Amino acid sequence: MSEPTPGLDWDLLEALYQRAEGLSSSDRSAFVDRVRGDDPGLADRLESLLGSTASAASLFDSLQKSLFASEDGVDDPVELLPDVDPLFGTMVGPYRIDTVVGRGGMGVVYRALHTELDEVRALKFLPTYATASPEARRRFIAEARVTAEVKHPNVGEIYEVAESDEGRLYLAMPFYEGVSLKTRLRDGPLPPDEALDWFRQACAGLLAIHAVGVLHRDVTPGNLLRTENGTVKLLDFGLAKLADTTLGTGNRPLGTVAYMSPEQLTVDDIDFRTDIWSLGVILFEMLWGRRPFEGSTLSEIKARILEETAVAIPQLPAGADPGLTTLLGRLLARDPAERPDLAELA
Amino acid sequence: MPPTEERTVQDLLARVREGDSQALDELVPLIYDELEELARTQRRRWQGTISVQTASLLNEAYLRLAGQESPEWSDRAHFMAVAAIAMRQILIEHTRRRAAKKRGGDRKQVSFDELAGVIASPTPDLEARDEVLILLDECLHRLAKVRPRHAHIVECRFFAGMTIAETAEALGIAPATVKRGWSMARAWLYEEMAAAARR
Repeated sequence: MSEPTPGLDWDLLEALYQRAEGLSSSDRSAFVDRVRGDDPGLADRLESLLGSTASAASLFDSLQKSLFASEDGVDDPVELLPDVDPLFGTMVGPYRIDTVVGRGGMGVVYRALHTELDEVRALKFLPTYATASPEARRRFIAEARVTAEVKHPNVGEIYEVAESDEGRLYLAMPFYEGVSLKTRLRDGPLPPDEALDWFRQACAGLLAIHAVGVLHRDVTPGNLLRTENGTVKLLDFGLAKLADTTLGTGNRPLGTVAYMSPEQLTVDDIDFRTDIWSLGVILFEMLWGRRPFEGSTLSEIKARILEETAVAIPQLPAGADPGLTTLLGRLLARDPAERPDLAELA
Repeated sequence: MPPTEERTVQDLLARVREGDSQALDELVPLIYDELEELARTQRRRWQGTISVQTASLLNEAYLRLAGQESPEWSDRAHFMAVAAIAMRQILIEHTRRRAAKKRGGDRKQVSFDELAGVIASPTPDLEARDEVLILLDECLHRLAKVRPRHAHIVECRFFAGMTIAETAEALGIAPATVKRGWSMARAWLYEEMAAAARR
């Protein structure tokens, strides 16, 4: 075994390994025996890999600890990124905070263990600047509680909104394993069927939060996640409002502005139809791999959103429903009154 | 960093992605302080037997980043993570060179199991630790030849200390793929390392 086995079929081996790993030890040996019937060499390799799994995990663990120990004795790998967060390893309410799993304009998301329920959850801490004013906090808590009432398969669940001892607001949510639309879009446009599936599920989720009177205000590919069973979850609703009231839209990140409706960029008085526009931008991006309003600077993008009288809809990709051209035109209508009702789309 | 400057960083990263090699030279001054701090932290946290100057670590890391063929740095955080990986690889290589020099005959004959046992102790013998590190580095190169994606997963998870989710995001693959690959890659490396130690 000193050289990688010639002709070793990694994909097959990995598939078998994964299946065997999930089995009890007796089922596992039976499984290996069945493989042995077909391919004794492969079975040997599989058996020895399975046998090494636990020792390998602990070796890598201790090697990492010994190499990369942190100054305060806490091994937080994510602290290696320059943006160090002091919460790692601490207890917040019933939660023990683990690593950072995401960062965005609206706060930092941690993986956390609910120590009483022994359940892994995601905790989103809102940035302190956004919740500094008591008024903003009150409004946020009120809105989060309303949203927490929404139980819909396409809406990311919120278990609770709470305050840490230091007075930071956080949301407790399920820890979803999945791929965001943002990641998915890195490979270019989506097949029309898949694009429509994301779109319909996003519509259904948005409809559910609109029904309780909450606007999302930041519908972007980064806030849509597809879990391993294919369900699309809409995340982070209502959070953007905080940034708007405390910072003004001038500080919003580049990517987000590209999804904003003309009225969101100009007036304070917006309603749920701004979210429908954003869905239009996303549907466009899924179909053609680029956004309808692009530019190399923030102000260029803004100007294009505000000045273009009608969005040019390119030729639809092969296999796409011809009705999509009309639908996109309506979603991206400048006059909010011309945009379609979510109920007819979901 | 003010928003306009943050935007410039994004724009420059986009230009690097499109193959504009000058963009990296424009980018580095903008985030120099941050990179220097990263190099200092990496150096300080490296519980190693070697020491490398912060400035030369930074330089070597820059050369390495500039030499990447088709960089896919999606954003600032990703760029910094890649820089962190590069710095750790440099530290490992220095360790490796030092150990190779020392090896002139008086190398202790210990089995891989013994080495692994030493590492698990709360205060591991650093020489033994470096021995294992070098084995890992060797076998990781081999893994990169047969399964590049698995080697990338190990780099992100082990060397950069990224979570499953961060690794998935950085490599553009599903978290389940990372989880599966990480487990299998570790087992594979373990066996290769044990075999290499016997040679």
